[in-house]
Amino acid sequence: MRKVWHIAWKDVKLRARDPSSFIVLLLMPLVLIFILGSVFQGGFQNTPFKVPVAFVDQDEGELSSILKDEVLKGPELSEMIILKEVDFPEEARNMAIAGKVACSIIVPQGMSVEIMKGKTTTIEVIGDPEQSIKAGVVKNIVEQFVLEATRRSVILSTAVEQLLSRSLIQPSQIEGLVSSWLENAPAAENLIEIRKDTAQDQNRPSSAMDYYAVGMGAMYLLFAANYGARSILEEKRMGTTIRLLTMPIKPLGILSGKLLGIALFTLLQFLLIIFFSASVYGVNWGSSIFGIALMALASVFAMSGLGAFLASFLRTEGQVAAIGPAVAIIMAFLGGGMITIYGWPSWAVLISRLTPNRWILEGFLSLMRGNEIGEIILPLSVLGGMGLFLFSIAGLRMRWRGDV
Amino acid sequence: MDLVEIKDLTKVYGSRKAVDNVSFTIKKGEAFGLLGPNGAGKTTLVSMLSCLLKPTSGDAFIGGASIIHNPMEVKRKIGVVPQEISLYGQLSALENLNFWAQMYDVPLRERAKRIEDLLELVGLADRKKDRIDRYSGGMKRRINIAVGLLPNPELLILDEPTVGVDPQSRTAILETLKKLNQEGLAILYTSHYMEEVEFLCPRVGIMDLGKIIALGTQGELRLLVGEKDSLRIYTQTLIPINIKEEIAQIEGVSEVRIGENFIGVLSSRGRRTLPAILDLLHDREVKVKSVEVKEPNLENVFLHLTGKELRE
Repeated sequence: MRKVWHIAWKDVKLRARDPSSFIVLLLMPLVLIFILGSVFQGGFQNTPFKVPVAFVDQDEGELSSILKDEVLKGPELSEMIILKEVDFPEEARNMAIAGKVACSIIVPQGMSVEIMKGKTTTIEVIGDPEQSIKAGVVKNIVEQFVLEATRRSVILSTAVEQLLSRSLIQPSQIEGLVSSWLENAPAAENLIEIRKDTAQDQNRPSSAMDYYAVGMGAMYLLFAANYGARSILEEKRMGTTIRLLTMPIKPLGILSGKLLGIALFTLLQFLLIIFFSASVYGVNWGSSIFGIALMALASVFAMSGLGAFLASFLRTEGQVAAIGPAVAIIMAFLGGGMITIYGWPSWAVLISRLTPNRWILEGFLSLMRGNEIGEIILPLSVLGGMGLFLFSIAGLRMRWRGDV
Repeated sequence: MDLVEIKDLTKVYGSRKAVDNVSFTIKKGEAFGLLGPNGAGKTTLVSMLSCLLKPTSGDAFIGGASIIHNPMEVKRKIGVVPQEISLYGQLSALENLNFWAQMYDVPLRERAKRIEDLLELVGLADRKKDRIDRYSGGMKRRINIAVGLLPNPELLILDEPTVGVDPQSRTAILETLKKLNQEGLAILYTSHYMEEVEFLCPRVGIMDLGKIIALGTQGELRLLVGEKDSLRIYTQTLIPINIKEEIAQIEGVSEVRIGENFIGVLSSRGRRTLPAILDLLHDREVKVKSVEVKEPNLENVFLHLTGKELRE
């Protein structure tokens, strides 16, 4: 086992001394993370949904006051609706037409009384045509409010009628009873159900830099693995493998050392990417150190396996150098490392799940959202399985082909 | 006492016998040379002895361990210097030796001293921290040999270890090996350079087309051609086709060989044959460029046995 470690560590030293590996495997991914993270940041921002509304209260009654102070200015909507109180209907209409507000609400005189009497009334909502979605949202809120108020009014008047008809109360008691009911009625904000904007995907990380740190990190894991895998063919060409075989170490030990070397170097590179992206770009890799460590190991295991697998089917270092990066880029593309995975069609999602890149993304994005190890069991298992399968095939192929 | 015992070793690739029923022994502390042209089967034979290749039939024993049944034990008794410079260019000589010492299981407490001693032996102690890829070809070869010596082997197997080396480095390498042999190290040395084998190995096996065609001490092998000198006459003009028969009729000439721009002659009368040959060439208007006279050597033996030269 000691010799396996010596072979692996020697390989790490050799790769680390190669200046091109520093440029390709550390500098390039960091540059790409920065470029992609900066360019696509717009698509990741959670811009607040703000609706400016002009409000004219000609009623000045109980219900208009509830609509204004407890619904539109209530805790559910206060972050979304910017309410501007206006004195005259004409002024409010002009504001909407001029696009100064998304819409204007004009509450007519006597609205509260009319609703309480169960009569028809009209609340005017004038929208800016260019902000029709926002105006539509406000219109819905007002409609829901009116419907709910009317429903409650009907219930109340029916109840009062029943109580009077059965002589359970005197007419003089009605006013006090209604006031008491109104006080004990459900909170005003519950009068209407506010459906929040669902455009934002709950799974989406807050920053493009976070997303592409994982995406590019995963892609460059395969680059690093290819670098390592090339060394198996390089040693065969140089004759150092033959020399190793004349020494008291079994071929399986040599192969294990070489494969461990690939994994070690790849892990080192990935940890450096995590460290630099976190400290320089402020990428949030999550708070679970154990989860990050496990995901890093599983990612490295799967990608190193893929690198070794590729090398076992290619004959020369040149072939690995040419085909390896192409495979890395295709995998990154299919696995969502280049184009965000949100909103992909089902067939594309299915294909992406065949790549380690996708599972690396899923695992790390989950950790970035603040999840713990329990939430990344599936990506960990899939990556572990992929690594085991790919390393086994690579090992068998290399032994069969006589690489070691 | 025999350290190496090779018994009917054969390696077949398809229909071609790379090594054909080879048997010989090497004594403890003996330097044995395996001489033959490229493709004679030397490397295949050495690869089997180094446990890199499994023989098709036959077996070999090194220190009593079978290369087929106890390869790990064999590997603990040998040091191998391959034909290629099998070193890591980006590592220093010291780092290379340290890594290979770990692979040879050289104990930690002995490792540093042994590496220092070997660096002294090959004359590179002052360059030990330099990266191998900054070394000259000859220096790399010397470290290549030092690696083979790391385990303090009972037998050092060297497969053409001086290929591409400048004459000065070659001399240094051969003198180092001679010194080690005099200190008791057994050596199996393969080469197609006759001078190297003559310098280093009292006993020699000559190999051609996978077979050992002659085996014995240098003296015994020279007797195969008798006390004959080898003459080589380089010409400036074309050599007439029928001149071979005419030279063969000169007294003392036993073999004639016509090359592209030279005539090779094996003669029992040595230099005394030369004037008659030169007269004949003059008569046939063949212009002579230079003449080389060689005492009986292993080259002549090979020529005598196979009708071709070692470096063809």
